[in-house]
Amino acid sequence: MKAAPSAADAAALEWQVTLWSGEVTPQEQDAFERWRTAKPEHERAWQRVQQMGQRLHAAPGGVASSVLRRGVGPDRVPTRRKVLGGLGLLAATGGLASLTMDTPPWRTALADLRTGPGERRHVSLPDGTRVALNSGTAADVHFDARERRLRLHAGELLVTTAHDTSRPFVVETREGRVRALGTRFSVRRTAEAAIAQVFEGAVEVTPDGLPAAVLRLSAGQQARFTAGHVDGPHAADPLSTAWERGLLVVQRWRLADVVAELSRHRGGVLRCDPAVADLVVSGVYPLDDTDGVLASLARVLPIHVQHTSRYWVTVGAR
Amino acid sequence: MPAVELAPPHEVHSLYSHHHGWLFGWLRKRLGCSDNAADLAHDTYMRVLVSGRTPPPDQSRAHLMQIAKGLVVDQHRRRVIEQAYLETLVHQPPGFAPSVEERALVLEALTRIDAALDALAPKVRETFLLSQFDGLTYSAIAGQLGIAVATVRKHMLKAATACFAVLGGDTH
Repeated sequence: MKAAPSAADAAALEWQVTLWSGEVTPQEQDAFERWRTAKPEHERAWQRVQQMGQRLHAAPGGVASSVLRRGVGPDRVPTRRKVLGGLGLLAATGGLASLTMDTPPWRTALADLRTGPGERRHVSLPDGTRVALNSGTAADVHFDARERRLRLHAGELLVTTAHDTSRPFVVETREGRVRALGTRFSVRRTAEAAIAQVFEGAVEVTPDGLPAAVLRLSAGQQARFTAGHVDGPHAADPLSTAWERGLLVVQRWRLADVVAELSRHRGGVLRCDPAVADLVVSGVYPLDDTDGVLASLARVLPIHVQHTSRYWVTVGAR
Repeated sequence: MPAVELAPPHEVHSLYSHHHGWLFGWLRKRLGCSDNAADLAHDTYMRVLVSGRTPPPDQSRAHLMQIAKGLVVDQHRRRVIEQAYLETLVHQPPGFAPSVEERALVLEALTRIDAALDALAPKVRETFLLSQFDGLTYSAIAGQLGIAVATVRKHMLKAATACFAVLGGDTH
């Protein structure tokens, strides 16, 4: 069991409970906004509570409702509730969305988006766009009357854009621009290139220095690009966004690639010996506990995980 | 990333060499399956290792048994939830077909929520389910359960705090 929540977390939970009521007054909304923007630690606590909310609703409401009531007789769950339920949820969500959009102080608070090693965050932008930041990500927010632009310096973003026909949404990297056409997509920077993947809608990729070489990507496609070159479209990997929910999902990956991915999510050095690099791995692993993941891999593969120190770990042959 | 302080390996090793056979036997008798017992015995020692400390020698077996019981309950919970989830999927509209990985994510979340809500009083649990998964407002919940709206809020805070402990953000 974890310890009791911190003071900021406890306050954020109280606000969440108020906003969940489905009957929020304008006074409560104002008070909430003041609290949230008063201190950066309030905002961080609020984001942690939002993350709980996302995980809570990983399953559709009707499914969760019946699974979690499995011990309760079906006659105690009136069917009418399902109909009412849908409406109630919509109303509650609408309230939250408008609240976010009506909050101008946000812009300054969000001018700099950052996560450290092993840290992941979800943020809402002033227009209602939702952005998930993977481990080790840095980005700046530039919103003006003409354009909504994120500058990705390092790491990976998963963006679900809010609809706004008057202002295009763009993610910019040193390698080029990715322009959203109403959509859910990710952009990642690696040491060698940038990678754009589209999960809903479409984007246009323009490599830096090649304004005429616009590549349109539709849902299910990805492209890798550098300044002056674009490679694609190839099939996107829908499993690659599981990090948003704190998971690494792999199917028939090389061990070396799994180890490289895990090392993004922890501090220090994590190396894979070439002798075991080509072992094949499948599974669903929690990113919060990379040591536990290594231990469980060592149980099923002929490998040995050597901890020279907490920050220097080598995966080698057993 | 939170620092992980491992329990002293030689102490875990001694705990292993003295009690692993006994723990494995205890689990096998309880579960009726050697493979599963071997896995859970291994997981028990992993928990001790990452917990950062080993029990005093006279409490070794009590400590191991407590962890192993928790793991057996977790495994049972996971199976019950999975069964209920698969049954529920059968009753969803034809277009609703989550992929294998979506199912895995959903099962993990549901299992954690179930564990978090398990320790709560039935009315607290029901209040939370009505609000979060059936979408009722607090007044509607108060009416349905015959309690005051203030009590609904109190129940919600209790349940949300329990869920936060197992589902909260990564920046802890």
